[in-house]
Amino acid sequence: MTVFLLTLVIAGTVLGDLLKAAAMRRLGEISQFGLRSLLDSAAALAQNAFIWLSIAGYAVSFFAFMALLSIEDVSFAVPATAGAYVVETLLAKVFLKERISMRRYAATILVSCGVVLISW
Amino acid sequence: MGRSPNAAPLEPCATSGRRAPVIPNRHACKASRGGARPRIDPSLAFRGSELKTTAFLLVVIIANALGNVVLGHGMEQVGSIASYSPADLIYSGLQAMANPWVLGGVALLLLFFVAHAIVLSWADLSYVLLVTSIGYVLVAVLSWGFLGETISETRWAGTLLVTLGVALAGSTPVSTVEESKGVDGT
Repeated sequence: MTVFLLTLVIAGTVLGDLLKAAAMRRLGEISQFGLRSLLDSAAALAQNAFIWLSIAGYAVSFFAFMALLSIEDVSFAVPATAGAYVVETLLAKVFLKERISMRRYAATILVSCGVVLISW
Repeated sequence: MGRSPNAAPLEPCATSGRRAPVIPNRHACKASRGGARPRIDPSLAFRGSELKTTAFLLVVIIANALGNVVLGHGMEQVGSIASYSPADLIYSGLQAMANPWVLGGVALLLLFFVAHAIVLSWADLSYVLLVTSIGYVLVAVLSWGFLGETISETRWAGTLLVTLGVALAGSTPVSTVEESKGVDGT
């Protein structure tokens, strides 16, 4: 059950982030920050199925995390989700065609190890 | 950060063969074909700038850390959730929304969601993901400084690793996408 919930937490967050990034990229760079322009952007974004799937991913992740916390300690749950950093970086390379330099890979490893230690 | 609402709309500089809503960013603009430099509208100087990225990343980091702390404080006041059946969850959720801390936390997390979305409209996900992880450090330092929590050596070591990782990630370009795609099929 723990593994199942942990998988849901990570998969939900990672998919949520990837789909959100994809939706925002399709929308294009936001450069007008007046309320009217932002509302127009939000309306355009709402037409994109990716953003709704992204929100669904976050929701799955949130409830799976709550359920995970009911059977495991926070000190296990939070460091365990640090694996999401590595998975998400790799998927950003594959699906969003981001170029991950050696520096960024090294940063990913440092950050994920650091998160594990912080929440240990 | 008020922008004149009637500034000229962005003119896509590379219009060939791309899907219409894709607005090429600064990389694509600089590498326009035919050698003719695109006319740069001064009102768009804020576009894709370092200042804009930094400003939004700060909002993302602070709203997320503060939102979680405020929401956590509110949920402690509300009390533990008795049952996880959907009806009970909705009831508990509505009850929790009556707490001002919960409401404030939700508002901050909403601000986080919007600012995160905006910054992702031009920045790499892998960049934003790494740089915003400084939030872990922020929470650790704040809980040490303001809540008087003791931080173990392991936790300080983790804080150091995350800080180093963020510094390293921060030295990489904010966006790599146009470069890896190649402009106009080059």
